[in-house]
Amino acid sequence: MVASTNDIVKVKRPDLVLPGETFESVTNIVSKPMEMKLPSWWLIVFLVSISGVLLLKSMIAYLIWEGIGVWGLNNPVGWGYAIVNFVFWVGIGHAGTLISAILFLFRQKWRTGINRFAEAMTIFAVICALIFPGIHIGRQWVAYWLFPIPNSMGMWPNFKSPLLWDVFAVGTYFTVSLLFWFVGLIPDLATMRDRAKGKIRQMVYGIFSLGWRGSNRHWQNYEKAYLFLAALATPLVLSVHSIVSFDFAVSQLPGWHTTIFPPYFVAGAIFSGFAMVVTLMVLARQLFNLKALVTIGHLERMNKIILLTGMLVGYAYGMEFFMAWYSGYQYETFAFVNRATGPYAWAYWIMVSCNVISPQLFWFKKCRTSIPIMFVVSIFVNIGMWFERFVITVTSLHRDFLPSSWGYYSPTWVDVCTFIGSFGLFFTLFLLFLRFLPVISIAEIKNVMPQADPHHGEEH
Amino acid sequence: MKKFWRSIEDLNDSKEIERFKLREFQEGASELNEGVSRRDFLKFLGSTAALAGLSGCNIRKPYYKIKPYARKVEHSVSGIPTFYATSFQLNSAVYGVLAETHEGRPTKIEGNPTYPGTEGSSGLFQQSSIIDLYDPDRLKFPLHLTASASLDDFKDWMLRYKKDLRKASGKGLGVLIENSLSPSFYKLVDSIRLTLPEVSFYRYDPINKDNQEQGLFNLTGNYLSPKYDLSRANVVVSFSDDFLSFGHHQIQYSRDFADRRDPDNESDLNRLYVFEERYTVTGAKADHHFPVKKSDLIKVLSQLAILVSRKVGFNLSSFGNISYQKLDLDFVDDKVLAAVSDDLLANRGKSLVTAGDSLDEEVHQLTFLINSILGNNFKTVSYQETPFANYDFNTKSSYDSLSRLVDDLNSNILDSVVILGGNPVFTASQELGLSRALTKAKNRIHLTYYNNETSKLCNWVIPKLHYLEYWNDLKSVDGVVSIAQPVIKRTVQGLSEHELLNLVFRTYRSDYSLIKNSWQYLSSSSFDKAIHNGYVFKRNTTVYPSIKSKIKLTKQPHEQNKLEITLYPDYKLFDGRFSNNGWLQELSDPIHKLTWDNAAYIAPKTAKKLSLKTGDFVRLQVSHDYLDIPVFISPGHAFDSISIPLGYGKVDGQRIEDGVGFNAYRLLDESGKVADVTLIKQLEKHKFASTQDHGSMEGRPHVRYATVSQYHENPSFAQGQEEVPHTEALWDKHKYDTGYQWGMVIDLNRCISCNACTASCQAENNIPIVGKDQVMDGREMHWNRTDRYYEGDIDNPKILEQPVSCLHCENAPCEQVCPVAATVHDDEGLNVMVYNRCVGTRYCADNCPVKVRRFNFFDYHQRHPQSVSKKRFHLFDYIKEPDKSLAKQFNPDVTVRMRGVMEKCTYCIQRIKSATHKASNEQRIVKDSDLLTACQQACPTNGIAFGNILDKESKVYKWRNKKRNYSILEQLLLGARTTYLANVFNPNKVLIAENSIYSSNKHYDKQSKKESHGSKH
Repeated sequence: MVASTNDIVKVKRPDLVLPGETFESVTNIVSKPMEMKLPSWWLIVFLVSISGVLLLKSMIAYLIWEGIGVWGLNNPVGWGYAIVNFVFWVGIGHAGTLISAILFLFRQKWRTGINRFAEAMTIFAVICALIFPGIHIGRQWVAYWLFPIPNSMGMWPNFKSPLLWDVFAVGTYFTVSLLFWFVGLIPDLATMRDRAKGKIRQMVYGIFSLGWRGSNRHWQNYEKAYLFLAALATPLVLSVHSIVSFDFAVSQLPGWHTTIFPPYFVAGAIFSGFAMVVTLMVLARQLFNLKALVTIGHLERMNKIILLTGMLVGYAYGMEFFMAWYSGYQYETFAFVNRATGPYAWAYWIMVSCNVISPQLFWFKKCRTSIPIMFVVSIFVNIGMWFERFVITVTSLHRDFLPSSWGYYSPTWVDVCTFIGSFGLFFTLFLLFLRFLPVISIAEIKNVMPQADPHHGEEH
Repeated sequence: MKKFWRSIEDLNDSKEIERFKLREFQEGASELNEGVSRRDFLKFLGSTAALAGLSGCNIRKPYYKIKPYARKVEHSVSGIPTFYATSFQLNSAVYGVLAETHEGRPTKIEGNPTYPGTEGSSGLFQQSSIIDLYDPDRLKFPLHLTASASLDDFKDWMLRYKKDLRKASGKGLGVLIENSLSPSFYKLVDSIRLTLPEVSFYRYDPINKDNQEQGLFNLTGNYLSPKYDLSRANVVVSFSDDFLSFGHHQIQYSRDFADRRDPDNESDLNRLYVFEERYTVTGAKADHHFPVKKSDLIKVLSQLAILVSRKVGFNLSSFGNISYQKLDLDFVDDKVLAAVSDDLLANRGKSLVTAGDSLDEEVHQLTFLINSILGNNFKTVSYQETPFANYDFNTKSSYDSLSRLVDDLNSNILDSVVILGGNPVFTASQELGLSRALTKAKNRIHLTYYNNETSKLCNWVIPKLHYLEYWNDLKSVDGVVSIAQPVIKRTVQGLSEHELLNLVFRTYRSDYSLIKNSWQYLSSSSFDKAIHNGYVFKRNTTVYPSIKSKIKLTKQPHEQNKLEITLYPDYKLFDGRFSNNGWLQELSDPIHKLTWDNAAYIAPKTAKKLSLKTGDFVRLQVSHDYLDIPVFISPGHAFDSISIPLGYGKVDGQRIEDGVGFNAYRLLDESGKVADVTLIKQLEKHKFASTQDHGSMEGRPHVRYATVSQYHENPSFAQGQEEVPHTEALWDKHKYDTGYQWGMVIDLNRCISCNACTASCQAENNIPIVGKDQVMDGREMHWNRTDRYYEGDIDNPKILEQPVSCLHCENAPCEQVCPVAATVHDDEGLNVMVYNRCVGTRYCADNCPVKVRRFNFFDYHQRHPQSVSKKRFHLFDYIKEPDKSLAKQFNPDVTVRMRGVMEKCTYCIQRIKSATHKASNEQRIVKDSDLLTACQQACPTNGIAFGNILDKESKVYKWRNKKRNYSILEQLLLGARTTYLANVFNPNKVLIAENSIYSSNKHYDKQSKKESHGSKH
């Protein structure tokens, strides 16, 4: 049976921008944070964050001066906080490009309210992530040997090593994400340039808006470039975390050596990325009064994705156990039983309760649309996803093949301070973004307003 | 005066030329700027040259002619080490060793292949003794009233003192010695007694064989040292005798014992029963191990004697009051005794009963008796005349001798005392009051290696030389006489024992002249030959004693629940003399895997009863003193018994030993024993640094084993115990079928986990020590470790050992994951580490299934407790560097690794390369005899085979093709080059209990089922 078009019942989608807003008011709302007097909360939070950056810097300096031994690593556990943090931040950096590129290609118009924000978060998270592989090596001053730089010895990196793939994957992801973000910013930067009152503002926004005048030709080129970049970025969303997962999957350690890792990691990354976007968005829309542009509808959609990916992740947890049992391989079985019942069982159960149980609240519309609940759940998911990486990295390493070399890992104050410091860096960059760049794409959001649709909902 | 002139101008004295005469370089010639003047530049140049040849700073050859060993005589070929034979004494044992020297620096000790008994093997004391030579904490100058003085000051002082002494014909002088085995030493004693008859001599050794000697003397009228022939013993019953670890012949015993553990020759496989109060290295090798309280050992032994004598119809009552007694012990019942006695009787003349040194005199008498009933005497056990036993200070027991010294001091008979070595104030009972008595003497002279507890009470403290620094001669218990030559000029202003003893009665003579004087009758060429070979001759000192008196057994009340304490020499620090040796401190205890600590070891059941956990402090209260010490739960320990290793717990000690462990000497009472003790649990906790936290194998087949009968049923039982997946390779495997292909096989049946391999590796490969806190963090750097697993019942488990170092996998997991290709395979099958290339991602270590890779988390050479601040030339010099003295021990053939790089076993690639170069120069291929890895060379049981696995003549080829050869984790398809020969135990069929590891061995059963299933097809 083929339904005729006449049979389709029109469902009115919720407004992406609250009714009553005009093009002008939208521009005003978005520009306000950049043009208003510096709010005192911003200054306070910024000072706190910048002290975090200082903390990070001093921890790194101390690390390089003294050696990796200042961390809690030991012989069975060669990777600890640094790798956990790396995977955690890369995971967070997943939501941005997913929202921008994949949702763009799927014509999900609701993305316009949050894409700029999510992309910025991606960039900053990847910056935080990139610090860790650089400093976690024993001789940080030769980190550049990981890059294929032609040299007189004819010495190339080992292309078989997943760590090298990582360098390329994360490097590419960062570059493309940055470009994508910047291209999307150009029309808005031009708006800012035009609205700017001071000479310096005019100049800086002017330089970065690359001479945008909003001509038809500009718009045509812009739209094409944006589409291409979206197409380019889309496979990267899937590849980067797949490749990060190869760091583990390609090794032969029980608990790491698993074929489920690439999709499992990608799902987890989207999960954590969305959770981080919700956390930050809830705060930003409150503080800058963006409620008209970032509606509860936006947040609800994101919560649905959190619910979906949370269950994907939960499925992966279950499947890992099934495979461990089904393989009949005692080392694999032990690795998973040890996760749930061994010395790190506490970490495992924190992970399960945060990642699998807490998102189940989003089955209820009341919870999905409640700001306090979604904020708390998103924080839980962030914690849970950090622990997921901790569980994968540490519990697999601490008890491997020979019981004689089993050990226990606990972080030192340097580990913890470095992690805290990375949040300082993230928030510093984020606060700068909030203050100096339009947090919502002015140009794009106008596209989804009723005023932009000359047919008033009549689709032809 | 004749005048020389350079030019006409000069001759004419022109002003112009003056300028030229004063300046070497003319104006306009380039000169270095200020800051670094030419003079400074040359200074730097000079210092660079000096630093470059760091070894050059102290190339100090001994003055007298010494003979190099083995390699060509033109020593000093740069880069080629020279080996010198020498020997040294440790307690009552003499070790013949080779000192490897690089450009004059001794860097490593090996066993002397020509020295009778040791045949090229060595133990960890020999291996670690080299670092003592360079210990920066050594006393370097004589101290007079705690101020530094020179040796000449001391000689002058002695000259003055001697005048008074001569007048009193020696009255008032006491000399306290440690057991000496030097003929020249006793010659000097004789001369002193001639000239100064009133001088009294005393002896004190904290670890001694006094009980054995005295017991056998009382029984036979001779001073005897038993020597076992383990190569002829089919059944060995040990009563707390750790003959594989300590004693005169430990290395020979280890080898002979291991030679009898080859299961391919059934008649040849020996059986070892051990009754002991704690797990020892020997106990760990036992086929049957019975934890028995120390006080109960004599009961077991006497019942065994009764059973044996009854069956051969021997009237025991004529030899003493040995009566039947019903035993009520946890692990030993009539069945056990019957089985052991039957086994002994079935092997009359081919069995052996031994008893530990520290057991009572009666035990040794009973052992003698039982061996003679069994006809073992003069067959599997021979008796040697104890050397120098006729000296009065040697016939008295250590404790008697020392208490006599205390009495003489207290009664003011002595006004001067010379202490030759040792540290009696620390090692003797506090109750004896030695320190108080010592201060009563006017002159107190101590010859010592460190400024220790005893030295602090003395007014003259003279540095004692290291055995590589002076001439000595030694006579071992079994009659091997050696002349020990120094290989380096003295690095401290010190004296040898001979020199000091000589100073007591005449003017200074050098060690060389004193030793040479004793060996006058040797012609110059035979003297040369003796020092070249490392020994002079072997004299047969065997005697054939018979029983002359009855054994009197003192009835011991049977107190089952009474706590009992055993103190024993530590596996690493011995009596405490090695406590400032960082290598030994950081080696893990062979049984408990503890480093940098001792503990009160107790059985799990005792711990439960007293509600103690590992790390809980207890107070052990004896009548005069107490000791707060943490407990450590030790499976297989006897119940209601505590054992504590000696030698730890220095307070205010040198930099390494300071504050490490707990001093169990404090528990000794006046008679040198530990009397009644009460245990009080304390609230404090202690953290141990153990290199292995997990003792169970978790049911995994890493150490594979079977009994002899199982082995004969299924000789290839060890293979295929892991489920190997079926895989298809995507590419052709590298063949590795040409040239040299290096491989190693470790025979688990031979390994006694003595740690000699680890110590040897440490010396050979410049492996740093990391300190207790780093070991606690799991960061020890040893390339080679011995894993110890407990299997079976927790109250009396079987110990399984497995040395593990890099397996050199052909399909190495580490190599694939390194992003910078810093660990790669070479065409000889070695997994090589390129330190220069390593950036330190540690990914290789994560992916290593046996976790043998070691990461330099810090610059451990720089963080060594004896490091010094670096001279500051630029900003980054604001750090420390290894002490210059310790750096001299470094093997110049091995890179000293920096912080942040990974390292691991290289199969001693430096030795491989030097052997292959030598062979290729001689246009032949390397044979087994050309090449030994450091671990293999040290191994006293020859448990390691290494060589070219393609060479059908090589031992490694033969071992690899043995049926019990297996590789661990074979399911990972590693292609490991290091494989293992599985354990084959020889239990007594009668004593195989249900559920013991001999009867239920799931891996064996599984594998056998598979085999038989496979054969049907």
